[in-house]
Amino acid sequence: MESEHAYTLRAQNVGHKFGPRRVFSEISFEVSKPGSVVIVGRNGAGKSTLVRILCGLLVPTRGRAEILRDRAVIDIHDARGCLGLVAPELQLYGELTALENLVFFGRLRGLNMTDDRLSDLLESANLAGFAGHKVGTLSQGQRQRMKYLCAILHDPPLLFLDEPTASLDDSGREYVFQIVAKQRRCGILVVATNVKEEYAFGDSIVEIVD
Amino acid sequence: MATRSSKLWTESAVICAKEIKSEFRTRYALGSMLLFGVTTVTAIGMATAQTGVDGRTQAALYWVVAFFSAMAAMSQVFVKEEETGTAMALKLAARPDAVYFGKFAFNLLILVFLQMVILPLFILFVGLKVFDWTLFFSALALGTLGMAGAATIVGAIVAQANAKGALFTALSFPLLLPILLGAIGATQAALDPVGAASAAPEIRLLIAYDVGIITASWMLFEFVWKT
Repeated sequence: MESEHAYTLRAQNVGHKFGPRRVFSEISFEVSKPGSVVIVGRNGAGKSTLVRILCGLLVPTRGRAEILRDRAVIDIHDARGCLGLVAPELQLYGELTALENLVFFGRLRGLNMTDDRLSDLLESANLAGFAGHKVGTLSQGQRQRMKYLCAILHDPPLLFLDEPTASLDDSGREYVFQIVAKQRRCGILVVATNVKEEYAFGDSIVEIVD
Repeated sequence: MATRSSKLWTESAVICAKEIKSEFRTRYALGSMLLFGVTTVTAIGMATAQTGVDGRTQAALYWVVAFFSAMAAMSQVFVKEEETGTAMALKLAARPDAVYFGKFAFNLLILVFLQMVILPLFILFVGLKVFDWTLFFSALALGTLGMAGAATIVGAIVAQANAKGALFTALSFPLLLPILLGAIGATQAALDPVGAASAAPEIRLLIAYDVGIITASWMLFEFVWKT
């Protein structure tokens, strides 16, 4: 993780519409490293949409979302090296094996990972025996763990988790808790959830209301 | 230290390699492309076996088969990413121009493979007789390059649309028409014993159009991909 830099995530009066339908408006908050925020709201309130906006995957119809590095705004579209995202609608390549997915996303992020590093990563997610299995053949829970591996393999200063423990069993949740604890210590964590126990993942809570 | 451009080419190569690996596992593009290409060339060959086809018609038929076979294959390159939900992961991990060049390189390889399959079939079944191989391969190379460039940006646009269906072919056709006309003209000249000298305007058109379409596609791609 790029611990030498100070990162801040800032949302200023962010609002979004899909056509004529307003999803939410006037969302403002700021979180600096190390820190965390939990986004809550009823189903359809726009939690996932807000996460996509914060990641630069969607341009808000109102307001703006910014990432600051050492107090200077970096283009949110150019900030991909700083971000990791786990979300239900984000999928890995089902026709590639678990190992091939890791190598592919690692190479795109400029990482030349050794076999030992790859083994350690898979081992950490209890997927050591599935390195050669196509991701499309893995269970939902195993795929969710793979998403975590691909999201954190470059040690991103900002980690976004949308429904973080969906599809996971007890050991999977324990794995997520470890990632959450580390990220809260060393970076910025943004969690979108409706699970009450996960409200504790954040130093603060942003509630999306109608 | 790796420069920005060397990183771009490395990322593009990684994406192209992933596309090739995925394609060999799923055979989605290759299957539909080869099925269409082989079927149509065989049908043309059998239908015209008695009467034969003159060089001008052969050239037109060749590029019509290449165009529609290519459409069958290349429409899925971005649609698949959106439909399977992998586009989001790719957008977060790769810079847009690396995605463009990676997909472009893959489309180009697919088209080169297509040409390698349908050219021998055309010679065998339709009796294609080339008099100027240099001109013929120049037309093939320039036509293929332009088709790959245009198909890459159109594929990215279509992937964002709700009604994908035949949109890819419909959008590609006007964009590819100048390439098709230029390639057909140059190919006709290569099949004509005395036509080579008259192909210069078509070759110039193809070069200019290829440079234009690839540059414009590259510059526009970031806006389309981030939409």
